[in-house]
Amino acid sequence: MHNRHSPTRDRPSTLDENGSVLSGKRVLLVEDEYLIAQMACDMLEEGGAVPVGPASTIAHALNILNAEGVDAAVLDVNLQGERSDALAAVLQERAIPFVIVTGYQQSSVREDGAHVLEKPYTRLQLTDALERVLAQRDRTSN
Amino acid sequence: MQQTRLLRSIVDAQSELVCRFTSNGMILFANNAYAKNRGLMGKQMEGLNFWTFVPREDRPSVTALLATLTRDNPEVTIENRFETVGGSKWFVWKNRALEFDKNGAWTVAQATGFDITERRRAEAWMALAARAAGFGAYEIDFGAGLEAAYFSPEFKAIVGLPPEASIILDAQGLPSFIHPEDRDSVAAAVTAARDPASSGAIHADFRILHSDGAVRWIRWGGQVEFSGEPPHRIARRGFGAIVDITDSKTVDAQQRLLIDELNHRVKNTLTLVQALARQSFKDKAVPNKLLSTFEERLAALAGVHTALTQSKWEGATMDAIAKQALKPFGTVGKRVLQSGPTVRMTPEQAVPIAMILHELYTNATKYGALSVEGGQVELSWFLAPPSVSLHIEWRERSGPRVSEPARKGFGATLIETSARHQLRGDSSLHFLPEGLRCTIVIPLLATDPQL
Repeated sequence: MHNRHSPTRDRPSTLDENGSVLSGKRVLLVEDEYLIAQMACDMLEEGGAVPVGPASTIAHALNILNAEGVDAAVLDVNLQGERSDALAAVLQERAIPFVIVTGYQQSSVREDGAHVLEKPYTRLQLTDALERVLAQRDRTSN
Repeated sequence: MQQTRLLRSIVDAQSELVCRFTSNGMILFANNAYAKNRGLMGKQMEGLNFWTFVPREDRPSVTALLATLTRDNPEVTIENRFETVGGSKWFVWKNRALEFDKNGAWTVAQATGFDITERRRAEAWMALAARAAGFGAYEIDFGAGLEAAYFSPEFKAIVGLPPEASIILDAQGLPSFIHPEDRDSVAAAVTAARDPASSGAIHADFRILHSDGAVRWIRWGGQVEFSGEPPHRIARRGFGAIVDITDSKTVDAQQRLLIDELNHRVKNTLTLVQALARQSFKDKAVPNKLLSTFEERLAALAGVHTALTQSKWEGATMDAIAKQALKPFGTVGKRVLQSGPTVRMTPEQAVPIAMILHELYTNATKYGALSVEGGQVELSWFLAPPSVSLHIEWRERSGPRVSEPARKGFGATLIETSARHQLRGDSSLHFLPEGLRCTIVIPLLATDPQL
């Protein structure tokens, strides 16, 4: 597995000067609710990451993915009535770790192995989940 | 005459009823068991007409069946009522023609009868119950094959067949009406129940296909009877009932969908509130710590909604509420001991209890026993007296030394007011030097709006 879109791929994922694996990581945000997207961007910035997007549709998210590289993604299950499963499959194919957020009842790990975060989430829960999926990706690809 | 006396000595000793009669109904002979039902002795029956003991409404069917007796086919079994001194009773009669005239018509026949009043009553009850509850019964003798199996008219109606239709089994040994997607699970249930090592009980929900393509949900409860001892134990007979549960299944599914949707909306709204708060207080010198406290309270509120959704809003157990409340606090949860019986709280009780527990956990992780290594929290609850009130005890130990705070914080206020106004109970907070102690007493009956 490799990921040609990942600009920070070569850097080892250890704690950097800010004390977080998330530091400087480009995280694509896919969320159709503007206010929530804005909040998630703030949370990512506070966690040291670089938010990319936010994208409110699957098409928009795919455009971003094809145009610029990202290290990880946060995606809502439901995008204006459209499920984001197709996007999750693309991310999986490109070995880009991601966290799913949802207001629906879900177990914390989906059948496809994706990590699920229930809404509403705190900044710490979001950054923790991202750090976990990033660390997992690094373990499997090393 | 001698012959009659011999016959009498034999049949008077029998418990079944014996009656010999001519084709016009005159009794030539009846044993004591028969006569007793008329309040007489056997000898006194001779010369009487048995038709007078058969209720008018049963006479046509009995007449028709007796008319079938011939030399080649001299036996017929008839079920009809018999008017006795103790009231009308159901009997099954085995009639055998004994003498015939030169045209071949029978002239003398003998009936042997058993009282089946109880069986008929049970059958009538069963039919009544089957109609009232809408269940269809069946009985299969595995040795005799399917032709001998019994399926009640209600059974056939449920599976979409007319009463005269027969149930056909396919190569898999299953009735053809079972939905293709559920055949494997039904086959597995049958195999498991017929295993001589099992209890023989069957409980399964599955779909069936009516001939018009309609899909119905069926609940099946059955029992397999075995005979013999291991290793020669074999499945002998199967019986049970089915009932159509399509309506409740549909309602269940719709309700599930609605509750999921509602929960989704509640959580989305809470997330919007969180986003609004962040936007409103951004760059307004509101410390990040305060914002996180607020976010955590929202998360606690969302968490208890999750617990309630899992129970279809029928309430949540104390255990589920306590576990959910602990979730956001991560690894310190290992130092929390939760214990108590299964108590189901209504949604109205679950939400304030969750919020109270959240405040206690927040305080413990910031200032109390969970803020230092080795500190512990014990959360226990019990009913006292049983099912009258719920006592919740919160006890911290091995934490930093505690002293009464100078000012009452929001957490303490929330605990006090939620306990009193929302739970209609009482609370007490004790800032003991060895650790915080909190007791909450909730009346369980008083929260019932009916009382």
